[in-house]
Amino acid sequence: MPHPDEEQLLRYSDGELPGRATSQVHSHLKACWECRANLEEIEKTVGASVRYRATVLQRHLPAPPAPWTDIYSSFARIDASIEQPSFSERFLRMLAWPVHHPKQWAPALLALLAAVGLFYRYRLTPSVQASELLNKAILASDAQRGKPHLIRIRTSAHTVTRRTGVAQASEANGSDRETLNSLQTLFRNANYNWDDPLSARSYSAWRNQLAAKRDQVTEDRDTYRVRTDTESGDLLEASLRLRSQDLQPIEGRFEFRNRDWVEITDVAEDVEPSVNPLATARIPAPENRATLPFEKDPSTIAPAVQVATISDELHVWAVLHQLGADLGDPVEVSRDAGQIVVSGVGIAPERQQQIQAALNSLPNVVVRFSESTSAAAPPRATAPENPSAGDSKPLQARIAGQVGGRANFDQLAAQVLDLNEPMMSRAYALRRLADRFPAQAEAQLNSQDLEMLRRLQREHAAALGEQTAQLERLLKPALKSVSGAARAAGPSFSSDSWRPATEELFQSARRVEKLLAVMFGAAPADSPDDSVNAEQVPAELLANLAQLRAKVEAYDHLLAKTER
Amino acid sequence: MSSYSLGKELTGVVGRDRAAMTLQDQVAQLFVEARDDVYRYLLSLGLHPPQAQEATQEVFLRLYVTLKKGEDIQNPRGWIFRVAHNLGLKIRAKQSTQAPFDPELEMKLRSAELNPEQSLLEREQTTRFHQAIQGLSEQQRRCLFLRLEGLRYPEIASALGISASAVGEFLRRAIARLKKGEL
Repeated sequence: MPHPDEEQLLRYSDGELPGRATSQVHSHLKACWECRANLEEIEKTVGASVRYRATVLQRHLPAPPAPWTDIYSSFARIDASIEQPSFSERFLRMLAWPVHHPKQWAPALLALLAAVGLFYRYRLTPSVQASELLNKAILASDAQRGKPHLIRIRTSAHTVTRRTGVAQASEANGSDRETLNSLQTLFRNANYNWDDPLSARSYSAWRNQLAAKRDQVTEDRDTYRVRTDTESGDLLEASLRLRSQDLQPIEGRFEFRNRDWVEITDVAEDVEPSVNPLATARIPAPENRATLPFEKDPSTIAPAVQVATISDELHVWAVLHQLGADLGDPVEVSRDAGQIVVSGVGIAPERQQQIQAALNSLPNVVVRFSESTSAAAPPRATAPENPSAGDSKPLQARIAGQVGGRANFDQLAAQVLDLNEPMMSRAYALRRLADRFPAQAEAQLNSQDLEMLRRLQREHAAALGEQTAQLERLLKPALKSVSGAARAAGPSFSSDSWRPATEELFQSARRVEKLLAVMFGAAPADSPDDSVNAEQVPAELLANLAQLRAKVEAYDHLLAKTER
Repeated sequence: MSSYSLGKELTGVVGRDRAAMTLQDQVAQLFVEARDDVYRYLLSLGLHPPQAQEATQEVFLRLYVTLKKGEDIQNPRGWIFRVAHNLGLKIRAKQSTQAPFDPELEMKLRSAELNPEQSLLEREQTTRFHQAIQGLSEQQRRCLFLRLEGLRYPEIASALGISASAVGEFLRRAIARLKKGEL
């Protein structure tokens, strides 16, 4: 046999040659040193690749951002959904039966069709009526299109008058402007056109984008009333009263998910609104029900017409979270002049591009990156430049002895510091969310947004818990014997509210970080802000880790309790 | 991983309920064993960590669904990587506007802080090997990575949609180029 080529050798060593060729190559290799040396070269490269996978890919690619979910619960969901096709198969079989017995099924089918017809007729009628009525009203209003009219807007706390057309809050005076601005936000979030809220066109546009809705049309002596309620979006119920003679909308009522309500009435053009009691005479007195006054958080109301809301900011955070840019990256988010400013210093150009692209689709966002190298990252305890520099320290020498030598100690130090970094980035991320979403701001979030905020928090907390547990697993065997008896984990939080709890959690993580730095020689044990002496460090560290883990658990529980 | 047949083993003689129980356990065990490998493979395809993690889970759920339907899968690990590969490319294609994930490995490899146990020489070698890997063509790299995950040539071939002999050729070229990088 001639010398096998390189591919044959590779296939041979991979066991991918057909049987006869394998034995041929095998006997050739016995005879030929040259080919054996070539094969050895191949194996060496294979070995280098395997080492590359272990040392580079496994060690340096980022760990999964969240703990793995329990896959059994997903199995259960799948099982539940798989049952359905078999049910529908049975159903189809049942349907197929009459085909072979036409005499028996014909009358039944007719009856069924009639019933279905009736059902649809009754079920669809109000919505057909509603859209017909609205369409007619839109046509009628087209005749006087572009003519702004004066409307009076009443909320539980304020009454404001404004002209329709592009929202002009600027015309109004101080407190009215604030009210108008917050109303604009409310309507905009509900996908309802605020420029002309009292119009069939705006009502219809809102109604058409709803996934599920129920309509009702009622007729009075000289008015029609269309009412639509839904479960989707921020606006749960709206109604529009139209004058029978010309189908002009004269009154609208809007009820929002956060229990705010708004009533809008048309004010006759030729009469000054403030001296016209008749214009509102037909308005029924508002139902006597609990309502919340509008939040007037000055930070959410800015002079610009387009006002970025706290909800917009939350969505920015969610996008950054998706990219992992709320961890480690020196990215800051602030709200300024009605816009959300995402800024960062010294971020790699590709990363900048990536962040920018991801934020593109969000409203009212400005991205500002600068090149300066003075990173704006929060201050952290620095990792030791060279852990082996502290050979003289007795504590480290003892731990080194415990783990089987200096090399192992250094490796342990590297692993621990690898974990410390992401752990602290989670703690910082949680604290930032607490800073950016004070109680007042949180109250303005709708329930979907609130859920999103909780999800972000929970993911950070879960990762923090996982990293803490890993640190514990790593350190326990090494520290058990050099620390005395470990103290029991302390009580959980001093308050029932998640914001102070976040701060306590953060401080607890900081404490762990500090102790790690002391233990692995990155910080002196007797620094003025540290009351722990070197002897106690291992015991303190284990106790603090246990405490941090307990706190994370309590925190998760706390978050669950604050769901609306 | 040995190539055994999960589906046949489970839906053969055993009763239906018990089969479902065992199936869950088997897939769950495979999930624990292989999820990190699949996750890293997806990162190497350019998925960002959160997406890669989500896709990883999805792959194992698909395995479960497929086995549950009574399909016979000869080598689950090969199947998993094939599905992961295709799913990963689909996800990448959907967000072509976003830059692919780049772990900036090279910078990390050079960093003494992250690799304190390596000598300067070793670090340089690792970096050079990494650069050689980066220098491979896309198909060469994919073949190599899948082979590193334990897939046989026909499995790699079906994941990448090429022939088994093409896999042999890609691997040969990859090895030849890496050999130079090693020196």
